[in-house]
Amino acid sequence: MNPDDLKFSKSHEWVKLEGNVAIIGISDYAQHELNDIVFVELPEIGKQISAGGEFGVLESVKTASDLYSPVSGEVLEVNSELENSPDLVNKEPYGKGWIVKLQLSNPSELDSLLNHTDYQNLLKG
Amino acid sequence: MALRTPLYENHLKLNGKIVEFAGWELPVYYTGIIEEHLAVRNESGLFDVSHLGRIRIGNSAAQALIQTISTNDISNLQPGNILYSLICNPQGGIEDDILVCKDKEDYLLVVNAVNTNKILTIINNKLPEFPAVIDNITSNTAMIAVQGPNAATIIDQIFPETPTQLKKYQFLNLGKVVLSRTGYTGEDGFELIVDSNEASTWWDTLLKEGKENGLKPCGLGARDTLRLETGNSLYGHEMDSHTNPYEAGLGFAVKLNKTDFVGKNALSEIKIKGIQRKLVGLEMTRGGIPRDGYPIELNGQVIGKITSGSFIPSIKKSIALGYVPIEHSASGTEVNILIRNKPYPAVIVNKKWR
Repeated sequence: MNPDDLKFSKSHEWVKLEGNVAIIGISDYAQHELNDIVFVELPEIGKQISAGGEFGVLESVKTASDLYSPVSGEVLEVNSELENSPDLVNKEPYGKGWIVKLQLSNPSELDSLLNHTDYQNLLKG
Repeated sequence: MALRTPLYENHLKLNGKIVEFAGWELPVYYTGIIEEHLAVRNESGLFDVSHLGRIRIGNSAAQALIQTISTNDISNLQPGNILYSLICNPQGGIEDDILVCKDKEDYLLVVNAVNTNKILTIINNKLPEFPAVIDNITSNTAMIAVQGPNAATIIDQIFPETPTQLKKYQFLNLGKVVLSRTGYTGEDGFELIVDSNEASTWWDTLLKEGKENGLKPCGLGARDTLRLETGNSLYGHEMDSHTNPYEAGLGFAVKLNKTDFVGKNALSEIKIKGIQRKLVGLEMTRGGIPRDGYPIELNGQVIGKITSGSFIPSIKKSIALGYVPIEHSASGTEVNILIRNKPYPAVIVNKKWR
């Protein structure tokens, strides 16, 4: 995925919209800050998640970090490859390291997210 | 405001990710904790450990002063030798774990960064009775660790023949450098105490000379996973002022038959009565990563808590240290660790993974 096609949250998650389905992952900056990710706690399929709510946990060697969903919806699919290869989040944060797919319940929430350029400006502070 | 070691600029040049630890700004990693952990296990790693407190104690009162504030017996410690010891409070709780280095003229104490000021106060309070000369050399020196199976080869290139002269827990005062065969990683290794003005040059020289032996700069993250894998305790985690040496598995550093020292009466009593809880190793059996503070459960009851835990890259296991009641401390005991309120199975094991 090209980061220019994604929307970003201030808590460093990204969303890619495919129809009414939102694919969610974490930004390259976030994976770099967390360093070696060794465990991903994924949500259960069918779970309802609201925008800003926790949907999982990333564990790096050093620490555990909550994942916050940029949008509301129902969990359709989780990236089960992460169970055996959590380091995909480090290696391909915008590709094979995606984390969940949600059935979007409120598409207008996407409007409040940042585009890639604005997100990068936010990182520069 | 956090303190910076004399090697701060070197860490920035190497893209170290700086964090605050025990009041010091230090790199948690340069490229990654896993890579740095494996470098130390397989080849060698270079650490800035300048945050450790270094206190010289001199003159004829020095020995008696150290004897009275610490639990191990230094009366037979010969020049060039190092002894692990503890500083306890009158209740027998641990105030610090330290290294006592016996130099020709004086002693050098190496203490935990987080405790340096506290130990200086403990020492100063004893000065009226034991008028030793105290010199806190922490800020005008730096301390650098070279750790790993290739450490001796690297040190031999720079200080020829010294590895053959130095056994574990011995040191040489080479004038500009105090070179000891010590470390915290569970590997063979050396530590250098150098003048702070020369620290940067020593750091670069070591990296250059060590390159062909795989010497890699390593941060606090790998230092922590390496010590955890070795089963080494860290002050503030496995030990604090409410932990006694016997429950922490550090009774070997308490000599009740030596002259009077702070905590002796309390520790004698604890030894007679026996301990209530014990520090054990734990291994996760079906996933989950244990962290400091997580509850340990047995049959639905919380029986203790984790003091340190991590995923360990070299053994690809998630392990922890923690305290459990003595009656549940046997190896093989199956418990649960509560991770974000969800029980994950773990088993109690010997707290030494290498």
